Amino acid sequence: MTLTTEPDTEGLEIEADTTVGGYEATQRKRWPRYLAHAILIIAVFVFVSPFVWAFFTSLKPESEIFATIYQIIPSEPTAENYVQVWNEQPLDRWVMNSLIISTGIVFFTVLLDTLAGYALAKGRFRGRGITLTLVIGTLVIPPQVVLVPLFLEMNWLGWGNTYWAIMILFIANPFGTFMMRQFFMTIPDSLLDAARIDGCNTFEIYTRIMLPMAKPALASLTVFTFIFAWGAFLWPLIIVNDGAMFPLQVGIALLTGPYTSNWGQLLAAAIMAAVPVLTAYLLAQQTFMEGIALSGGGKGQ
Amino acid sequence: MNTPFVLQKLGYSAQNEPIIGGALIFLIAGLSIGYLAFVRNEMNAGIVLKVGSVLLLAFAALALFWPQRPWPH
Amino acid sequence: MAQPPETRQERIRDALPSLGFADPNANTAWYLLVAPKILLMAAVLILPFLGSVYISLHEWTPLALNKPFIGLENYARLLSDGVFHNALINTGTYSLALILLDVPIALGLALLLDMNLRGTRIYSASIFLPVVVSWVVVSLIWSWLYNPDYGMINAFLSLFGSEGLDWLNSRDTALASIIIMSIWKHIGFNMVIFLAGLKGIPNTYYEAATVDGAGRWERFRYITLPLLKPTSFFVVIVTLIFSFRVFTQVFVMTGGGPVDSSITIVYYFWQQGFQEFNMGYASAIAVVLFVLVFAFSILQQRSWGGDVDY
Repeated sequence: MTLTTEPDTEGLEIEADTTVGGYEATQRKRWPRYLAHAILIIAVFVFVSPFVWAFFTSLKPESEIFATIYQIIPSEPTAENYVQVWNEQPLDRWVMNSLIISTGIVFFTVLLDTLAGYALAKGRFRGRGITLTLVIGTLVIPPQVVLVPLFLEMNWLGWGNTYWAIMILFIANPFGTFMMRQFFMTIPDSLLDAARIDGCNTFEIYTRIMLPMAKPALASLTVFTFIFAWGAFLWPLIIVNDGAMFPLQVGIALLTGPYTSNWGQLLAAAIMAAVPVLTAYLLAQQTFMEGIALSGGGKGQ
Repeated sequence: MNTPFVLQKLGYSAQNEPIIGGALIFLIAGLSIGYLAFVRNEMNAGIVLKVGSVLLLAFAALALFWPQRPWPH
Repeated sequence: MAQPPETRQERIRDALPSLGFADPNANTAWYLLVAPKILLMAAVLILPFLGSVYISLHEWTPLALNKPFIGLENYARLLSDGVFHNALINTGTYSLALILLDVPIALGLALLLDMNLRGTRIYSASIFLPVVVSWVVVSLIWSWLYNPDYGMINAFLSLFGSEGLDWLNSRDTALASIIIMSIWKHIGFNMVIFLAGLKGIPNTYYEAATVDGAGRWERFRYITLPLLKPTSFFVVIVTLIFSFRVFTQVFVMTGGGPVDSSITIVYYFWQQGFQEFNMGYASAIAVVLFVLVFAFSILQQRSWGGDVDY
């Protein structure tokens, strides 16, 4: 499903009433369109300008940042903030950590959720009802309730400061399982029966039928999980105290300590942290939005 | 072979060490996606999955040969 | 009738123990598929959840030798804890503000985008942009915007002759500042879900209504709103559940201050559990959080979700 369709050409007002998404637009009533455009343009300004301001500030030398607030565009843009933060803080390692953690979370979540979702949707086995109830019941548990015992559990295992400890909380999330189950239930049983007759076993059905047919749901789950994993904060903050293992978010959040009012550098760090996701977003913006829409809007229909 | 100990060792990499655990994760992910994308034709894998699997393997190499950047301060 | 194994592959397959993969009714195969997820869930979510309740009934400092059972004493302390009261009120205010402001504005924007104007792609991409950027980055950027002397917001206000506010540094405005920023960040998320819901309403309904003489407002009230009910229900409940867990922006922007004026439940939980290491007390806070969210979800389901099926 696409969220945007081709816009109507606005010049053809002379013809009979045109329908725009259920709203009439005759030649007399063009002002709703203009009003809508106006509101949306203001919205664009509101939602984009903070990033632009932050970016410009990061390009200013320290002296200029605190000189005057009316100079938005830097008079002599400099990269010194970026260079300084890059040299003083292990940003590259933090980015690598975040990539590792996010990749691991997304991969194992998708793997485990599709397997379990498939079993819960199409499987016939004893205890299926109980298992399903268990999954739905676990959806209710907010992660925060679990953090103290999980912290103790991880340290008892000796897994403090490891990638596994960070990842494991997110991989255990039942949301994806529920979502994949809902999706797999829409696949007709006849397809599976035909495959069985052809000699496929359970696992082959998984790879040859279930996964290929689930591509849109998989994409959606991947995007959703990735955004969630990339932004993970509280749990890594708790379980990791070694600077080498910080994910990016924790690393830059803690920069407010050493860099308290050094806004040039703080903002440079923030911008650098935003670049990976921003690039991915600009390249695949449609996928991001549809990922969220399918996860949520799918239920609404 | 003390499995828990090995897992623990894999999961942590100090300041300038090669990130073995990370490389392992990238390797597993890259190989699996690669398998689905290139071997399993039913997947009809688009360019995203194919490029993605190659990218993941590249990251595995990057993590393994993580440049020994002198630790800041 | 089964043929005798002819190929080498078949002979190998027969020799290996069958884990029941071939038989759709065999339990083993399905158990294998489900096991990793369920076991992980049990170890990471279910057992620790029970553990949290257990710990909340004790006085629990990780390094202490003695972790005495104190029954409901932690909860009793919470009842009279002024900071916790602040946390409750602040979190409730935050959640309410999001539901009352974020959701309607998101719906409004979705309606505008549903009109399919030229440039919709740019509009929606811009509105959704803050959703994609992480909370930490957005918090840092807005901390700068809120800077009383050099931030853009006060600069903008001064153009109209206003002196500007203290935003994050003042007891009166700290929480409101966080709320405004959070609405800004989250609105695109709800908008996208609303838009998907709007696209799902068939045009034929609108056309029929127009033929019957219904105006813009009537179409909205009698077609759009009712058909949007499942989507709205979903948006509100998700906003509610996630807003109660607010932490990151408080951590980065105010640290709960000034003077606990912007402290939230999860922030207080973190403070107690991992700064002061009063883990029993922190667990009690967490359990209360669970009960609150659970109660609100049930409440909403009862009052609103009548004909919504999952």
